[in-house]
Amino acid sequence: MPEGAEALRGEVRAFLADALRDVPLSERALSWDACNPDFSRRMGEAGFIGLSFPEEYGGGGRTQLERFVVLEECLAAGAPTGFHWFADRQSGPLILRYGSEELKRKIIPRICRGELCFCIGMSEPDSGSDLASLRTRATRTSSGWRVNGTKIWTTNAHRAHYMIALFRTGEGQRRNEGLSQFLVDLRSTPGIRIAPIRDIAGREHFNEVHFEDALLAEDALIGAENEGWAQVTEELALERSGPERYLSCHALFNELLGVLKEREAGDTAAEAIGGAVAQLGALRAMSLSVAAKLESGESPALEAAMVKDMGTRFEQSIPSLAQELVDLPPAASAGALPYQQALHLMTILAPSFSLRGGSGEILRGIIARGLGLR
Amino acid sequence: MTSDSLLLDTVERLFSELLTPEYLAGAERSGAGEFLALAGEIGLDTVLVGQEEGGYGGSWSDAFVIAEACGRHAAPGHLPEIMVRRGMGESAEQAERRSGSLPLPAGALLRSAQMAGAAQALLERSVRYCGEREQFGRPVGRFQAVQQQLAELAGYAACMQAASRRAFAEVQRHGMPAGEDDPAWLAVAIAKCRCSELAHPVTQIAHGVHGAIGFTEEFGLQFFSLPLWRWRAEYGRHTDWALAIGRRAIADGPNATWAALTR
Repeated sequence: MPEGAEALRGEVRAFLADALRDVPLSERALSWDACNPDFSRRMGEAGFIGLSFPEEYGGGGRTQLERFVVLEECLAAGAPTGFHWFADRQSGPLILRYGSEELKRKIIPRICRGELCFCIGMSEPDSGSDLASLRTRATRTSSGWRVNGTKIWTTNAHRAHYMIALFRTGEGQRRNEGLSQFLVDLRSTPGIRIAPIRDIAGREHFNEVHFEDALLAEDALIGAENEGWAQVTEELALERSGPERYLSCHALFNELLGVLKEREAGDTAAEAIGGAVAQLGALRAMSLSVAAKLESGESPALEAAMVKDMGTRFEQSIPSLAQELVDLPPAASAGALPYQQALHLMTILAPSFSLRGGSGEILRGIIARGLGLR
Repeated sequence: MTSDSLLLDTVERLFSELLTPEYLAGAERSGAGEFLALAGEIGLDTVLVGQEEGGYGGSWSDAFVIAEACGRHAAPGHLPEIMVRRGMGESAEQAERRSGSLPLPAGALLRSAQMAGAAQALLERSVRYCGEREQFGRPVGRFQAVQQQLAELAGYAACMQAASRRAFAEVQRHGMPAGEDDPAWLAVAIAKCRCSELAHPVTQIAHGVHGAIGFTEEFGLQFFSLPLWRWRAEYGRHTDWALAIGRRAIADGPNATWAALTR
């Protein structure tokens, strides 16, 4: 950890203790899955969003490792960071890397203030794990681009100001050629229809997004035309290696420790909890080493895939571990303990952890390619 | 002090030239004398001894490099233990004579690095073998079922490396822990807990993808799998460490474990 990171940790903890005082466990349990625009604005005011972005665009100008400290403290406390999460994690860095000067000046300061919600338009109805088969097409017009097609499973599209979308713009020898990334203004572009999809927990967070002759300006293209695949691969290293890949259940885990202490749990529980803490500590060590590589300008896609594969398996195991160790069943009713309500939510949401951002099988395929086997 | 990578280069050169499969097979009978003498000549045994006392003046990160390489190259003898005992102020003779047992945290720390090294060696050998061995008309590494296994093995090996490396860094920062209340204790406990637990899947996958040839004495996979099976119980099994970590986590209650992990 660099100098100053520990002081920063103290600042973040103090901020969160205050900002989360009245946020119930059922919302904290969701953590980066929960959108709370007011909270995001407070985070922005405190300077905790865009921490590693350049100061000239309103960022904090600090290191990736310092940003890591802010993220992990937010996750450990169960801060509802979903509103600004994608912008801070990947869309901001993408725009900083590939966007025009004008675009950076327009968008990045607003991200840092916690005002903007981004969504990521990748999956399509017939293109999930096989992302390179996507068909939504952006065709050149005299003044820009015309888009037709459908994105699906787009988290937060119904709340977002912007989408970073991957569209087909050409054909190549390989299917992953001819793809390009675009910045789509969801609030002011005609021809876009957003339909929320209810999930098995009854929540609306992901969506179907239809593009019907949607017209984008010339400068909506981000980065190089037809080079979208390489850009997306870089972006996914950011998306896959962070602490949100093993801390999604941490608010519940923390509460579980309290329940076990209160019940004076014995050695069976202690051994299981100790094993989980060891997994958590080791995953954190892996994730930190990826953050250090990002800081030195590398794009560690292989290590990122390992963190996500092992990390999501760990966080998925927490609700089940809780049920094994304590005879308090998950319950959604208002009269149930906050712990039971949180357990209910996380039990239902856990299967999604290894789906979002690439399934385990796909990640292990990426690792195998990195090992030279494919 | 020299950088990690310079030391690593030196160690790699010596170990890979000397510790060939033929040498390792012979060393089981002839002992570790020659290897230890050569390691001593370039100062690997005194890496933790201060320069003013005639040592190398290195850090615990350097000690990780050496202990990990010992596991990865199946180094004979007890160089890691000797290195730690010399660092505790013992003479070369004392250190060699008493190399067998170390205080629990120091022993667990060393074993984690050796185990991470052995796991890395099993990964590298497994990937190489699956790229060469053909069945059904193609290298077995072309099959998705095998690829998924090797990807899992790679993740476990990376996990062991990261947990062990962090424990060494924490010992460098806070000093060798004597007990649970010392700041570096949790990182050491986590490293040995994870490495011991992962010894099982790592060896199962490595032997599994090798088939019968990996089970022969001649092939040499046992230079890495036998130590892993032995080391997983030395200086605490994963269950012993998990119990200690977990008792503490429950006694301390919410938030305290997170605070300890991020201290």
